[in-house]
Amino acid sequence: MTNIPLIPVLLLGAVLFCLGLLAVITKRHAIVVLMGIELIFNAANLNLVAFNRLQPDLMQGQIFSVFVMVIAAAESAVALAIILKVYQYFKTVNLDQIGSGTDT
Amino acid sequence: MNLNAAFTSTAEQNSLALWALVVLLLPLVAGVLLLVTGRKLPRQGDWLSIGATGLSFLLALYLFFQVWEMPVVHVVQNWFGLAGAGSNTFAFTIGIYLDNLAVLMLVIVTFISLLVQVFSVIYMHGEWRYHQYFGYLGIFTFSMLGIILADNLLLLFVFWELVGFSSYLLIGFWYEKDSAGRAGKKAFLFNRVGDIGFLLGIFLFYTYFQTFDLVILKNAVAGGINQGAAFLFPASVAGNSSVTLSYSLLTLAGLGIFCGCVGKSAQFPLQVWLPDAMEGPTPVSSLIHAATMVAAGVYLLARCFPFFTEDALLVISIIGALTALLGALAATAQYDIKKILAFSTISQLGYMVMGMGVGAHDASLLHLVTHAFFKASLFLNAGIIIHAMHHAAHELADEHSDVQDIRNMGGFRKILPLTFYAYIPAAAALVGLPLFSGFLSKDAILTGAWAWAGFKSLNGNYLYYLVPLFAFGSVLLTGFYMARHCFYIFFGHSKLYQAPTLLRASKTTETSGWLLVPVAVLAILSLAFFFSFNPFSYAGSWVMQGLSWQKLLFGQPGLSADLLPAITAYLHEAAYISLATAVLSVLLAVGGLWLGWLNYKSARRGGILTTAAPASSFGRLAYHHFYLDAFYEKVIINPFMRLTGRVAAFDNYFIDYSLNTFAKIMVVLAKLISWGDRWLVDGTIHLVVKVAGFVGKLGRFMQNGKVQTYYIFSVLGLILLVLYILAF
Repeated sequence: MTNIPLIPVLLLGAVLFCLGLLAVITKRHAIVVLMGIELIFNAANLNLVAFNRLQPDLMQGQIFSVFVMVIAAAESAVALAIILKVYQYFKTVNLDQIGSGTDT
Repeated sequence: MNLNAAFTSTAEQNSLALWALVVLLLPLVAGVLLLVTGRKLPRQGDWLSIGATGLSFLLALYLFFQVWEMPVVHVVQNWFGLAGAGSNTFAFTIGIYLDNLAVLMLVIVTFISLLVQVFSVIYMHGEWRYHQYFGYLGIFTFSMLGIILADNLLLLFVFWELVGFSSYLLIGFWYEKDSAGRAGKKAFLFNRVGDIGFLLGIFLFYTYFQTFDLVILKNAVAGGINQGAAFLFPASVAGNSSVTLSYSLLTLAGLGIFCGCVGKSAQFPLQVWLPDAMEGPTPVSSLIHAATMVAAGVYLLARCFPFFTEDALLVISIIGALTALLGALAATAQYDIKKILAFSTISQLGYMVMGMGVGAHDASLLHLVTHAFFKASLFLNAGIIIHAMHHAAHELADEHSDVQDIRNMGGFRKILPLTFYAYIPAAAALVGLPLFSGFLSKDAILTGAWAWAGFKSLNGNYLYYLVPLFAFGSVLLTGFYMARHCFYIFFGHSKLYQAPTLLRASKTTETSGWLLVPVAVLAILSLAFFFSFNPFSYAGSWVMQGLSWQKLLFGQPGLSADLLPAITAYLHEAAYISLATAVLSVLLAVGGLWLGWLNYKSARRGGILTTAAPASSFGRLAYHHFYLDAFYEKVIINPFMRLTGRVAAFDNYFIDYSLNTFAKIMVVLAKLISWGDRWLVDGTIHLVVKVAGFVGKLGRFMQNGKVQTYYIFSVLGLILLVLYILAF
């Protein structure tokens, strides 16, 4: 197993996080925003796995990332259900149009 | 409260006074009703006014027969009280005083008022303020009756002013005409001048005797003890303590009261308002400016006779004689049918006032009574003629000719014969021909004046004879101007309207009976028989006997205590005066008539004059009434107007200017304050508001309901947290 240096991995995680953040802030479609959130989860997971190198025996990073994936799956299910309800109510999932209704 | 309980039982007095009150109030009630509702009543309510006055007249007759030559009725009530210094109050009383003079005047005023109102039914027919005219007449009658019935000077003054006011209303009745409005104002203002003196006189008497009541004042004055230069009034008559008043002060007080008479009775120098008052309707001239109101001054003199000292009486007689002469002189040059009569009224009033002054108290009052009848008749007669002239002018659509100019008249003797026959007795009475009432009264006054002058000049000063001289001169002039009046109107032929049908109501009737009957009744009352059983001598006249000072003043002539008995004694001694006066006055009157006839003949020979004013210098002087109006204009009105102009200029330039400057300063200050308000006070508030608004907007911006914004803020918060942790 070749030794991958730590810094590039962390940089990749940061880039992933930024892309996710960008998606969450700028996208109008609710599902794309959800996808941005997934990216952020994955950036966090990458960080967890990368830092696991500091204590390889305990495998703490890997185990936490598995937990994160499970929670992310559950969260996605809940979020998708909400988005479905929102769609049924507003007939759109465009975030700009479903605000409080006062500022649009 | 009853002061004269000794004379008649109180109950009887009260009931008579009550009837007098009804006489007084009936015309007022009718007048006020007419003014308020007149337009809605049938015939505009003239029947209401005439009915009320008629009823008033009947009641006055009843009172006359109850009181004439009977004990005096005097009923007094408390009016109001004023708190004085300490605990004493000044009580003012109100009361009714009925004696021979008052009841006679009641009858005359209500009677002439009744006749004049009957006359006015046709004369004022079609006038658009017909009901107002009758309403005003009612108010006038009320005020005049008030003067007659008043028992104290204060009440008398109130009615005095009311009479002046109703006179003002009626002179200016045709206020659409500028001259009528001005004449009304002039009459009112000239009366005011006299009233100031009157008021001062009343004040003087009140100051020293603490009462306005004429009976108490008369008693007080009669109780005065002559000390040469002063009168001592002991405490028993002057109220609380004895009063000593100097002779000149009492003379001044008397002259003050006389000022009221000068204004109201048109005496020199205030007589100029009376000719202008002819702008009023002719029946009004007849009632107010000939028969009743102008005689109120003489009535006042009779009521206040005891308050005049001998010197005051001298002034009164001189003013009266001067007025008689000036009025007669001015009348000789007039061409207006009413103006001649107006100046004649001034002249006759002068006689009355002179009669008062010379102590011929009863003669003066007799002249008041006879003059009321014959002068009212003459004025109503002039009313018929003016009515006929208007009729003719209207038929011919002639708008340029003056229908009141006697030069435009003539020949009415044939056209209006009944009017002419009614005219003759009244005119003869005015001239003073025997058998007519004027002869009696004028003769009495002239005799009194002669006797007075004779008595006064016993000390060698014959200037006193000027007064009877003026009076006899006026007799001549009276004959002259009445002859002119008569010949111009009734003889010859009219240059304007020659067809009789133009002037008559119809071919068979000369004029309406409503017009003719009052004139005829008054003309008949100008005969001497009604006033004396012997028409050639005033001595046996029942009117004069009833009005003698012995009866009216209870034999107390007051401050001029010695004068009247002395004159009577002098006349008794020099009995030739009575006969000489009678002969002389008739000769002068006939001479005047003859001169008037000559004047008329020469005027006709030269063609009736057409110029507006006479050519001779004396004629011009008399025609313009001795330029008295111009004199007042120059000496009083113009300087006064200049003064008012100055005051107005001072007002404009000084007071207004300082006021404006002050206002400007205030505006500048206000501007400054408003700037401070706007920028400092409001600015602070606006700043607070803006800050609050900004904060609010910020808060709203953070909570705009968009999920992504909230997310941005959470991330920013996270970053800040991280930075914080990194930094510290």
